[in-house]
Amino acid sequence: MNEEVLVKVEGVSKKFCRNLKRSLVYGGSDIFKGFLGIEKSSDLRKEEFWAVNDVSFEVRRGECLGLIGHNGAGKSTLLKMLNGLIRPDKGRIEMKGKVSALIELGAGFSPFLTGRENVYNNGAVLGFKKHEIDAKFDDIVAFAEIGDFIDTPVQNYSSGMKVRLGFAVAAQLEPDILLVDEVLAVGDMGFVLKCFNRMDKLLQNTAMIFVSHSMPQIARMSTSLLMLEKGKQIIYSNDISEGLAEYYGRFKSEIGDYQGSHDVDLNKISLFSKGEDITNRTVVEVQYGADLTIELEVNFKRKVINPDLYIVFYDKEQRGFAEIFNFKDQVKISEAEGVMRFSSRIPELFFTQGRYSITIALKEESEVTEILFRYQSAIYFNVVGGYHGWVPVQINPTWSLTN
Amino acid sequence: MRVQVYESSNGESLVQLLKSILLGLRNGHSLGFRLFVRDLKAGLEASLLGYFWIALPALASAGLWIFIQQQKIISIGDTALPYPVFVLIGTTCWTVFAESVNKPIQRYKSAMSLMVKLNFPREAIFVSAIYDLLFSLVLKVVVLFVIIAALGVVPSIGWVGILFFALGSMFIGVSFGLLISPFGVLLNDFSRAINMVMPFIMYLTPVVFTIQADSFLGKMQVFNPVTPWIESARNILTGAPIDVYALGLWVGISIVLSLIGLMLMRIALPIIVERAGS
Repeated sequence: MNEEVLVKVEGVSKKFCRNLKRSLVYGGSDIFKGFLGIEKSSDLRKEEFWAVNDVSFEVRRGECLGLIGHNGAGKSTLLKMLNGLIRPDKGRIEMKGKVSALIELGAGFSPFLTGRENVYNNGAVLGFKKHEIDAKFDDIVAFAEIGDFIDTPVQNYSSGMKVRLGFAVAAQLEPDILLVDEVLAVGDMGFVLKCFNRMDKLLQNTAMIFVSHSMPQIARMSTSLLMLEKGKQIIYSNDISEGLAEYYGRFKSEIGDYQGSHDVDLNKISLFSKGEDITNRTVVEVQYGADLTIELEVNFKRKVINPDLYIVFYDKEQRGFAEIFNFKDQVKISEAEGVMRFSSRIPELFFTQGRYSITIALKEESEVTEILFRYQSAIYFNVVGGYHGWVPVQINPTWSLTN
Repeated sequence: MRVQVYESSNGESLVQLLKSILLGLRNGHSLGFRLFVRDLKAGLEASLLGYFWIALPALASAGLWIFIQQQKIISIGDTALPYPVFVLIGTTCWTVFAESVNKPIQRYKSAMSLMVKLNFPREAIFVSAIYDLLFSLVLKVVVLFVIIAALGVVPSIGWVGILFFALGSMFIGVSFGLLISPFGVLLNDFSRAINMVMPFIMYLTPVVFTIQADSFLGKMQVFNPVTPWIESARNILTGAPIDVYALGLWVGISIVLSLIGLMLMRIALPIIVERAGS
């Protein structure tokens, strides 16, 4: 990584005011101070808070920083500062080269004008000259896939068509720095893929900052990850999978680790692979294709009729993708009481490289089915080596040529 | 490669600020023109009378005053020009001025949805306001010419002067409008206050009647930025002398005020955008 740093953010903070009227008064006084050249105080005034608080990062050419966080975490405010729309109250931002923002597609569209006229207007707002749009016009129409609608007023477009046309214009940008804010939330799958391909191409020569709530999109685009929470930067990692793992690690407690009646406790979970207990290693790792044994120690504090253990595997994006549901077929007990140990052995684990978690639930199936506990993401493990696939699970069928 | 640094204080000297404004005017010119054309077309879309609305206010208020004068409701005194011509020139210049004061705030406000999302030369908004006003001014003056010609005034080279004087009242109006924009865009109170104060100022200006030169109000007219333009536009038809120095002074003032206004807007816009939400 010896590409030049294009975006350099050092200890940037921004304060906002909760109360609109007060905010306007502060705004008026800030404008006045600005005129007179008086330095603004960087302390919080009444009803103010830090919307962005001491954020620092760097993005080089060819890198993409995924910016994540809940609504109101300060992502858009940070992006506005990077774009030069508002000034930081503390810290320093340095942006090298041409900056473009994919913040609102179709900015400056007027509903009464035709697609053609709007392409020119939108292009002008984005900083294109007329002759540049003339040259790119056919590409834009082709990319947007709107055909003859180009000479129809935009008010007759579907929302998807507007977004497509907006992206098609923006896709012609060739910036050094690209800021992308949640623009791909709409549009059909085919078009979204096209947009990603276009952004991949741009990324080769661009430093990108990408805001999204969609973790697969972040995982797809980003090379580093920054998470904001209440304006503070709580995760900053140059390794995207590490960053995402940390992100999901934080979610663990929020999802509610453990829900249950406490009639039954899950005392202990152990993982074994290749005959060794790997549970307490600093990195819980399983080789691709190796065996995995899950051992559970369950304390039944009361008599439980027809217990049924259920195990689900989740990927790093918290999507369940595999389950074990054959407990009852193999462990034939109609009642359970006291401390019991169960073991479940998977002879060959063909999961792609990555980080996974195991969720364990116990049901009682008497007159009514009752979930006695559910332990979300009870343990995490990594699969290393072997094949790196697009989806978590590989199955290895037998192939043959049949003609 | 261009390097942009954003910090708490803008730390720009006056010269740098002025430079970036001139650069913004150049780079934002074509965008400003596009925005003007876009809004002009869009504004016509859902309207039957279309452009006619631009000329209507001046005609309506002139018509009202011609009626008042003919019915002898109030005595307006002698005017060197026939009263209808006198009042039409007055209301035309006045509506140009009043529109020009309001226009920058209006334009900046309506562009706010773009400004909170995209970084483009902010001066483009000013450029679009100027085009907008020029278009409206030319239309008003053309209608004025048609009507005074119909009233029997013989067209002359002096009519070009009228166009120029209308331009003068436009520029002085825009410069005042720009000057209040930083606060006017932030707080609606300013637009309301302008709308309230404007009619008062109109009656303190010789728009629909003459003002005695030796009265107190007459003496105060040296401070009135609209008066010299209106009076010159009339004098050029009657052949009365034109106070070139006063006109030159107001041109200078309007250039200086406009530049100050643009600089203030540069400083104020980030703070306004911060509060505009998205």
